[in-house]
Amino acid sequence: MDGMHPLEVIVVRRLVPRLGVVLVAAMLTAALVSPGTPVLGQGAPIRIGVVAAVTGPASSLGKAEKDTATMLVPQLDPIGGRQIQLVVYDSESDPTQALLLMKKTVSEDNVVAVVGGTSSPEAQAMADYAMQAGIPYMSLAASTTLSVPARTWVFQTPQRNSIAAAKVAGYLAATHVRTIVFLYRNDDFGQDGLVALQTYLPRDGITIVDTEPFEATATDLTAQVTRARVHTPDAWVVWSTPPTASTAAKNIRQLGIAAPIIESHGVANQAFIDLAGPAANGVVFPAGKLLVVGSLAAADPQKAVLQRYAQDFNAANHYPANTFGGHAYDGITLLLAAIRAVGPDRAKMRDYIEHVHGFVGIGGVFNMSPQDHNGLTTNDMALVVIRDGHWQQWK
Amino acid sequence: MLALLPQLVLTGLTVGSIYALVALGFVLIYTVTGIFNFAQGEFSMLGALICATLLATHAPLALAALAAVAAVAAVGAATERLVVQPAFGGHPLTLIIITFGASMVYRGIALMVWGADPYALPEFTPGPPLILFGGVLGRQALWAIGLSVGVVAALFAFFTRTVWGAALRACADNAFASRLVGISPRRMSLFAFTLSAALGALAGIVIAPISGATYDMGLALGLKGFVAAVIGGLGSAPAAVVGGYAVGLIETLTTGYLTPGYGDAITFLVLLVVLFLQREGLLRGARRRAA
Repeated sequence: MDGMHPLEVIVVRRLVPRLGVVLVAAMLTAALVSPGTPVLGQGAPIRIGVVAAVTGPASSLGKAEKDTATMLVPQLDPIGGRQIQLVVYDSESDPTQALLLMKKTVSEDNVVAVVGGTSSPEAQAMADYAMQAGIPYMSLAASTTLSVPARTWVFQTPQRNSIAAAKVAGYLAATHVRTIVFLYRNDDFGQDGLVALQTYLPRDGITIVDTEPFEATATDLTAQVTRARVHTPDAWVVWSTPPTASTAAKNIRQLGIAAPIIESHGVANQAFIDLAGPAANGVVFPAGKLLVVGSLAAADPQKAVLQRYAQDFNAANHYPANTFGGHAYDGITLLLAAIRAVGPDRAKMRDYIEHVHGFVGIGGVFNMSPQDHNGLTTNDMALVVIRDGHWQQWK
Repeated sequence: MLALLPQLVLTGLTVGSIYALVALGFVLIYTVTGIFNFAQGEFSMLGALICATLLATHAPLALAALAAVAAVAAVGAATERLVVQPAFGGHPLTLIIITFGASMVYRGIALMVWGADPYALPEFTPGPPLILFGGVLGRQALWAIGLSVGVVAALFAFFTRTVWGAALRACADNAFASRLVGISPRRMSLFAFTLSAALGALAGIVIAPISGATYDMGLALGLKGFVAAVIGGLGSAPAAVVGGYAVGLIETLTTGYLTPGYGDAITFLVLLVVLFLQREGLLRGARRRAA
């Protein structure tokens, strides 16, 4: 599509004097048929596609993403005289559905970029399509393989698994844990977390004595916990998102196990606490600084941005802001910055985002490069502990 | 490996007791009307979500649970009167598809009313779990097993000791003959739906503290309950309960000893084997309906 842009401009220029009236009619028709086509530019809205898992197993993450997009709509000022529109779809936590919706929004809504893919399996499917279609894609899922190795059109706004795993490894070493059991959701996210931990833990002399997979739809993990407990690990590490992440914590405590529970950054929302109940108490996990914004130093570069997002979100949605909505916020605002700087051109937007430096978002301060399409480090994460149903910074 | 067994069995029994309650609902409606009610799982979902909503208004748990069961029983009755009854006498397949439609409607309504977020219900009696044969049994699990056994006992007494129970059995045995002696199959059908809905709601409320409650929980529960009912042979309530426990145990043992992904696969494999071996029993049931 972008290839056609200059060509049509030339044609228009040559024909206008002779066929003025016909051309105006043709332009109007074209504008009506595909209002988002960037070709005819002036006045047509610029659209961004948002595909989030508003329902299904990943809904406690996807809903905040959708609510963030909805909240941003009234704040979207026109860029270059053109309105900005967000087209939001529900993927139902289903990779096939996510892929179909991405194709739909690219081909029918003529979006300039897509934000979405709440869970890693969804994001993988969407990333592959972004590469085929050549459209900037901001993944909201955390699998390391989404941005390592870097792919031309694929960017990732959550701290990727390997960053979270490094943070977890640091915590385990600091608390003198020697052995862990790893419970993980048996999909791209959990398996990726396992690979990441297997990389970092041996460096600190920590052994994974057992790994136990479970399905995203599981409602009881007692069997897995039973099997793992015979290894009597120093700590339990769980890599999933609610509801299964909560079920794991609950089942561990129900079986009378008192060892510490460490979860992934996939539990950074209120749903985890609500569903795990008392078992959430004492759970430690790495997360973006949004959850502990109150205890951040005033000098922290993110503080102001985080506070504003949290306030806006709470006011608009009546439930506490979480990092997942923040990922959507980062994806959308990065794209808006690109459109503002270079216009709604896919290739130029991609180049712009790839060289973003010091972009203060919710997930951290993004420093993208051709090699790093995530742009975050362990410094962008905090260790959070849940005490009496509230998030606190660890230590 | 053997060390895992007590815990896996206890967990299997817990999950199985819930499947048993759902399977009971299936069997009850099937024996009286010859219909597989695929909205059975949605009754559990509605029970759990209504109970969660009532609890949020600070109603006491027992009251909230009773009110939720009553409300869902009313939904069950309405389903029979407004959705199933008008199509009565149609092909059994038509009726099954109608119940499928009803289940989709309930799921859709639940999504609109409660949203996609999972709801948590507190345990009925919080406290430390019991240790049995080296396995741990949570208090909520005890509730689940106790309630399913209690309900079966109550149903047994109801079927053998009361006129209504006898009327239901008569209707299940021979609808035509029971009409001759003054039992209205239509009223019995209404009664079966109401009772099944109440059982389903109870199952949903008991399992919610363990698994959480979401608008889409009914599908999986209904499917497992259906498998349990079929494995039990669809004929009798006690067999359905045995089927429920069997499905629960199969699921947990495969998860514990093999890989978790196989839990469902093996359950359905067992269903197929049972269907192959018990084909006659199922067919006989269907022929009796047609008569």
